[in-house]
Amino acid sequence: MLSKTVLGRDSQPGSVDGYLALLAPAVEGDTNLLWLSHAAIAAVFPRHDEFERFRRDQALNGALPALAALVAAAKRPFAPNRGVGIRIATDTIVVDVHHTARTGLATGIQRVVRQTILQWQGRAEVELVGWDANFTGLRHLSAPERQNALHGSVPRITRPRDWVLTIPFGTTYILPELALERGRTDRISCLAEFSGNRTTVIGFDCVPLTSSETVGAGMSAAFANNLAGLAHFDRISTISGAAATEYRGWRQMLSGAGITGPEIEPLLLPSVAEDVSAADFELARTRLLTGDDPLVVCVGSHEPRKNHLAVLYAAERLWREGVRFQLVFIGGNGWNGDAFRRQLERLQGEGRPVKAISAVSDSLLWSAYRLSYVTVFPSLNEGFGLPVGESLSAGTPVVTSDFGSMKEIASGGGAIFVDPRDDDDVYRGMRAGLTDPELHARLSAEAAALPARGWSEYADALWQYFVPTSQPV
Amino acid sequence: MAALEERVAELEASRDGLQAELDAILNRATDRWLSAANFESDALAAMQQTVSWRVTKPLRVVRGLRPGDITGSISGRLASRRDG
Amino acid sequence: MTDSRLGAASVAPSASAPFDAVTPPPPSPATTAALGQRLGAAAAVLLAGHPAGHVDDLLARGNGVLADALVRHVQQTKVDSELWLVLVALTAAFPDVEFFLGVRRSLGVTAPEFALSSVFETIQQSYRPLKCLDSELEIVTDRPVADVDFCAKYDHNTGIQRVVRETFSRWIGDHELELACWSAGDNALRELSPVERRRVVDWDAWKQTPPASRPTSTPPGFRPRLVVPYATTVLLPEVARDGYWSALSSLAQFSGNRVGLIGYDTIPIASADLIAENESEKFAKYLSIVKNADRVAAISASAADEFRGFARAASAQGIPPATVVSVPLAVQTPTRGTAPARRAGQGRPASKLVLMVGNQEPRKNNLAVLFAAETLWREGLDFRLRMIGGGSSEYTRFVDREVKRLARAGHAVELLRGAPDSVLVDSYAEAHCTVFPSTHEGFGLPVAESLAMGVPSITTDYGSTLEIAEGGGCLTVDPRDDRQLVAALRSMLTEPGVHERLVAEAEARPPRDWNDYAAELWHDLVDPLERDLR
Repeated sequence: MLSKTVLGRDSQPGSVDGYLALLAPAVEGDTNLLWLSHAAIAAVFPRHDEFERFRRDQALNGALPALAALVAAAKRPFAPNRGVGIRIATDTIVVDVHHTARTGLATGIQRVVRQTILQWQGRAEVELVGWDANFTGLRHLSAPERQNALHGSVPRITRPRDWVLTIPFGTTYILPELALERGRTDRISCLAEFSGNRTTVIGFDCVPLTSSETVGAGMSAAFANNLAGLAHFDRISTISGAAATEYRGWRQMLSGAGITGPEIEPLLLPSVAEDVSAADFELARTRLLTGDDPLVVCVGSHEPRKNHLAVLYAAERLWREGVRFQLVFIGGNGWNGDAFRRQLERLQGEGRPVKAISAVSDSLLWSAYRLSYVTVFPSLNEGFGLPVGESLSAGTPVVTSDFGSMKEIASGGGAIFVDPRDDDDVYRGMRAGLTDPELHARLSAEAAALPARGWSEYADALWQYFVPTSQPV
Repeated sequence: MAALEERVAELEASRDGLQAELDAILNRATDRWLSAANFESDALAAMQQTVSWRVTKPLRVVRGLRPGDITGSISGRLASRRDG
Repeated sequence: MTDSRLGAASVAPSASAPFDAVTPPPPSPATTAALGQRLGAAAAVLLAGHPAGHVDDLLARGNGVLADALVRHVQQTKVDSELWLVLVALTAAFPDVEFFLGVRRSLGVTAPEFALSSVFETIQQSYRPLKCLDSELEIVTDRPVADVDFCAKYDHNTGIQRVVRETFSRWIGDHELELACWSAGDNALRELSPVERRRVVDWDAWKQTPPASRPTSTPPGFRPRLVVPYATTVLLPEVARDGYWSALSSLAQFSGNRVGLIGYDTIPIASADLIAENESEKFAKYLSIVKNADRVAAISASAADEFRGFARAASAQGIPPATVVSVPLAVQTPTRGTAPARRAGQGRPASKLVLMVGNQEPRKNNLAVLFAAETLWREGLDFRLRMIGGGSSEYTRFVDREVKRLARAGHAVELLRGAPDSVLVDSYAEAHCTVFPSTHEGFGLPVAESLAMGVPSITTDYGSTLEIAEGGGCLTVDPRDDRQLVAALRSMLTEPGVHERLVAEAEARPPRDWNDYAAELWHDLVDPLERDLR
C-alpha cells in the first residue's frame, strides 16, 4: 500500500526487504513521504519527537537502515497496533469527528459539527473518521458511530475490535470539533507540521486562555495544548469575528516561537429558529409562566462568565421599583455556581417571581424564546453568543453585551446593548426593554426583519474555505 | 423662654440617647462580626489541616471540572438540555 | 484534630441542642484597635471632604459607627476604588473579584441602614480565611508599590529573581518606592522585614552571609503593617504565584491603581506542547492579571509582540488593551569568584570546544545540537561538545541516552549538571563558539552572555535571539531545520575567516549593564504610569 502511494505502482518485490529497497531512495530527504512511511510502517501516527528521531536517523544513516529500524520495531511482539492494517486516503477529505461520534452530549459544539456534516453528506469525497482507543491514529467510523456523529442518537458505542488505520496523504484533513485529548493533539500537531496534508479546523473560542478566571481547574492547560496542536495548521474558520480576534491574538503570541500560524477567517454561525408543535407550546406555557406578567428569559449555564448575578441584581432593583415581570433562567449548573444559587434562593424566599430550570428539551427552549417579552444575555466573553441569535431568530428582543460576538450577532437590530461589567447598565437595559413599549415594538420589528441564514449556507461557505478547489454541490 | 430652652435640652438629650443606642447597635454588630471572622478563620484553617479535608482534595478538584467546562463557551448550557 | 485550634472558643453545653453550640470569644483589644486604625486611615482618605475632627468624632463613638459611615459613603458615591479601600480596611485583605462584586451588588439593593450588615453578611459568605485582622495598615498614595514577594521570601536566584534584584537594588537608591510582599494567609500586601528587604535590594552582601549565621526572615514580634496602594502605581515585576491572581486581578480592575508589570514571555501558552501542563495552567491564571494591567514592559521586542498578541485576543471582551513596550534585559557576564577568567591559555587541548549552556528540555533543542555534532564528527571534523545545564523532564533522559551513545562511539561529548559558575566561566574562556538554537525564548540569555564574553554563537533566526544576534557575533539558523544547524556549525569550525569576523563583532558590541536596564525600565514603565496619575 505504502509502495503504491509513494512509487505510483506496486511492483510486488515479494519481501519486506525488497519493498524497503524500493522505497528508501524514493522517500530519502522528503519530509512528507517520511511522515507517511513512519505512519504506514509503524501503523501509528508519529508524535513530534518520534518523527524527529526517525528523520535524524535517516539523515545520519540513510533511509534504508532507518526504515528497517521502524520495521523491526513494528514487528516486536508488544508493538502497538501490531495487527492493525492500514489504508492510505488520498482521494477523500478526512473529517475528524471523534468526540462527536461517541459522546452523549449535545452542546453547542456538537450541534455545529452535526449540522455541518449533515449538510456535507451529499459530498461523496467526505470520509468521517475518529481515533482508536489509545489515540494512535485515525480510523473509519463504524456505522453506529457514524449515526451518532450525524444525529447524536447512539452514544457510547463499544469500539470496533478490528480497525484499519486511515492515513490521509496529499489531501485535506478537517477538524470541526475541539480536540483536547493529549495523544490526539500531539499526533495531529505532527501531522499538520510534517505530513503535507492541508489541515483545517473550526475555531470556537479562546475562553480558557483569555478568560482563564472563569473556567475550572485543568481547563486552561488542556486548551493551551489544543492550541499548540493548531499552530502548524493551514486554516482556522472561527465561528465569529470576535473568535477570530482571539485566535489572531494567539497567532501573534506564536511569533516568539517562530511559527507563522494558520490563516484565520471568521464565518459567523447561523441562528435558525426551530418549530414547536402547538401541544408542546402549551405545555411550555404552563411550565414557564406564572400569572400574566411579562416573561424575561436568561439562557445559559450558571457560571461566572455568564454574569447571572448581574441579571439577578438588575431584576431585584426593577422589582423593588415596582416593575412587573417574571424571570426564568434556563441552563445547567456550570462551574462555580454556588453564589448564583444562594442569591436565587434568597430572592425566591422574598417572594420574587424567579426560577431556574435545568432539564430542558428543544421544544421548551424554543417555546421560551417565543413566550419571552425580552431575553437577557450579558455574558463577559463568548465565541458565539448562541442565545442572542436564537432569541432574535424567534423574534424576541435581547439585552446583551456591547462587544464581541454578541454585538456582532445583533448588529442587524433587535438588541439593547449594555456594558456587562456595569451592573447598573444591565439594569438600565432591562428596564428599557420592559418599560418602553415603543422601543420594544421597534426592536421586535427589527428582529422579525432579520434575514434568515441557514446551516446549508454556513456549511457551503465552510467547505469552500477548507477545500477551496472544490466545486459547489 | 426658659421652658422652651428646657424643652430643647430635653429633646437634645433624648436625641443623644437614641444616637448612643444606635451607635451601640452598630458597634455591637461590628464586634460580633469581628469575633466571628477571627474565629472562623482559625476554624477553617484547623479544618483544612484535617485528614479528611486533605484526602477529599482530589474529589473537590474533580467536582470543579465538568464536561460542560471542557467545551468552551457555546457549550455548557446545551449540555444540560440532555443531561439535566 | 481541631480541638487545640478551637480551644479559645467557649463551648456551651445545651440540653436542647443536639450538638454543642460554639460561641466565639469576643475580639481581643488588639484586634479591635487594629480595626479602628484601619478604618481611621481609610476615613482620612475617603471622608477628607468633611470638617476637621469629623473622623475622630466618629471613631470616638466606636468602630461600628465609623464602619457604618464609610459603607454608607461608598454606597452613595458608587466609586469602585473607594469601595475597594473600605473592604481592605474592614477585612485586612485585598478582596477577590467575586467578593468585591458581591458586596457592590448587595449595596446596590440594600437600604442605607442595613448596608453595613449586608457587607458583613457577604464577607461571611465568601468563606475566605482572614488572617490579618490584628494588622494595622498604611495607605500609600504618593509612591509606587512593588510586589517583590518571591525575592523577599526565598534565597533562590535565577532568571526572574536576578532581574528583580538587580533592578530594585538600583531603584531603591534613586526613587521613592515601597516594597511589599504578601501577608499571612496571602490576604494582602505587607511591608518587608529588614531581612526580606536585604534579600531584595542587597542580595550580593546577603548571599555572602553564611546560611548558618543568617537571621530569620521574620523576627519574633515582627508585626508588619499592611501596605495598601491607593491612587498610585502598583508594580508586579515577578510572575505572581497562584493564590495571588484573584486578588491582584481585582486590584487591577477596581482599586483605581495603575498596574505595570514586567512581561517575560508567554512560552507556557505559545509553546504549550513543550511545557509541563501545570505550568500552562498557572500561567493562564496569571494572564487574568495581565488582561487588566495598564502597562507591560517586555524583556525583548519579541516578548512584547507576544504580550500584544494576548492583549489583542482579550480585546474581544471589550477590555482596553494594556500598552506594551520593550525594555531588553541587561547582559551580565558570569564571574568565577576569586580567580580571573582567561580567554586563551596554555595547556588548552588541541580540539575546539563547542559549548551549549541551558537546561535540557525540548524547547532548547539539545537533540538537534547532538545530531549536528554527530553529523560533523562523521565528516571527520575534530571538536569537543560540552553541554552545561540542568534537566528534569523526560526529554532529559533522551539527551542522556544520546550523549552516552555518542561517548561510547568515541566522540568528545560531555554533559555537566549542577556545574558551579567557575566551570561556566572557564568553559566560555575555552570555547571556540557556543550554540543555542532554542525554539522559543523571552530573552536568550546564554547567547547574550556568550557574546559579552567575546565568544561567537550559533542561534535562532527569529524572536528574541535574533534581536540579540543582530548586534553582531552570531550565525543564525532555523532551529527546526537540522541542515542549517549543521552548515552553520561546520562553517564556524572550518572557516577561520568567518570565526574571526564573528569574534571581532562580538568584542565590538556595546555593553549593556543593569544600570542601563534599571534606568530604562523606570523611564518606560514607571514614569508613564506615574504621569497618568498625577
